Amino acid sequence: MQISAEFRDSEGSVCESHFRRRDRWSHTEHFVDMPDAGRQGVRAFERAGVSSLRLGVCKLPEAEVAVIRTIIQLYATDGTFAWTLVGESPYDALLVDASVTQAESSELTHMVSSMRVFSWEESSKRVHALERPIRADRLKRWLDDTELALRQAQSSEMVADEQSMMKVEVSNSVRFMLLRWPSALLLRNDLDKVHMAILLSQRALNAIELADISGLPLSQCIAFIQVLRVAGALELHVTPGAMARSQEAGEFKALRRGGFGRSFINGFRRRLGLGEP
Amino acid sequence: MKECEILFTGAVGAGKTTAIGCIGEALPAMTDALNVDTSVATACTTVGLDFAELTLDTGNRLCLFGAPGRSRFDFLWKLLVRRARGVVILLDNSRPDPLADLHMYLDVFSYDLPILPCVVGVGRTDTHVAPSLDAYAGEIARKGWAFPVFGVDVRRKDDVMLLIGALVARIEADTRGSARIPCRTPS
Repeated sequence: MQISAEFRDSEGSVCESHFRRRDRWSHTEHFVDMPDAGRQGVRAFERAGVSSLRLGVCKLPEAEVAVIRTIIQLYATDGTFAWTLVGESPYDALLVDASVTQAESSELTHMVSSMRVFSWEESSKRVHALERPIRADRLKRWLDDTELALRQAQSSEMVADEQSMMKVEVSNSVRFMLLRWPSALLLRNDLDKVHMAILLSQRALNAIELADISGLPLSQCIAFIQVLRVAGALELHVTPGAMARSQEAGEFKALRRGGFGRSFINGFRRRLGLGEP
Repeated sequence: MKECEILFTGAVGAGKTTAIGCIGEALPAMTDALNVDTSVATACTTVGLDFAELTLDTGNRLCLFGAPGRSRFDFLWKLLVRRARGVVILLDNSRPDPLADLHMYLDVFSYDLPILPCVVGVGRTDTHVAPSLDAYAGEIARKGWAFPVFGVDVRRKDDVMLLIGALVARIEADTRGSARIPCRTPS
């Protein structure tokens, strides 16, 4: 993601700033708006585990770079300030003087992958517009806003990633099977987890099938599969769509058939005091 | 009336006879003899086979067979496993090389294990912490399987129940679907 802003001096010259989020998951970039609602909550949440954000500068006069560096160093004494000024990419945000030529701008666009450039008139209305001379309070406010936007985009993508993972776990074309028996620390003698692990050790299943066979809630099965995936204990079996539907039909037919005899197994369970699924 | 036979196999002194006696509904049939092998810390050792059964409320029966642990009886292991619906491998963590014991049983039953539900119980993990249960699971995974591995004290009925319950669940998983995934190629 990239957000841009401008510096302007009294003569009307502007300094653009381009902000890009380093995407750790999808390698895609998005523009985001910065809603006012919930800023403080997100900020507090994110700062519980503050990670450093990288600010870069390009084509700015040395004097302005020195001012920016000093401002950032001063604010860095506050443990919650997330920004550091860096000389090399990757950048989370990049400040660029608006005097750059069209060619340089294109190069920057290429480097940053996507860029939003505000015109002077537009920038004056934007909350993250920067004016010359550089003022510490304005720069700080703008960095805070940018950080918030980055964090919000990051968390919304994490939610999207989780939803995407969940789609995989309930997909008809993707099934999971244990590569190895999970560690005792992971199972923690939890009989539900042991039961699910046993089923996944015997055959490849998706979360819906696991819930159906084990009799456990779907959410519990999804959560367990996610834990096993993170632990690297599962292998994926991907079946093309049509084949998956055919296989699914076969599975349910077999479920109804009952093979060895559900009543016999349930009898074991009752006799051994194991309960019925 | 249906019968389901489960085979207990494993190292000498691992507690196969004790496990079977622990959950059988009547005194099990045993063929123990005085142990004269001083390398194994057990008073008696099985020289034939152990047998116990559980009758279910439907009249069906769960038959538990205990194979002798000594490798000279391996012909008996192979006979017993033919009729078994599942196999419990019991190992003793206090033995000099329990992972080698595991490998021996996996190799002996390598023909059957791709289609035969199996669980592994490891005894004396409280007094001998190494190898860990994860190490056992890792060795099994190297063979291309993912059998359940539990630390057990076979004198405790709950622990033996856990083994049987896990095996029953595996048998159940086998019977509740048609698309059994073939055994992976061992790495």
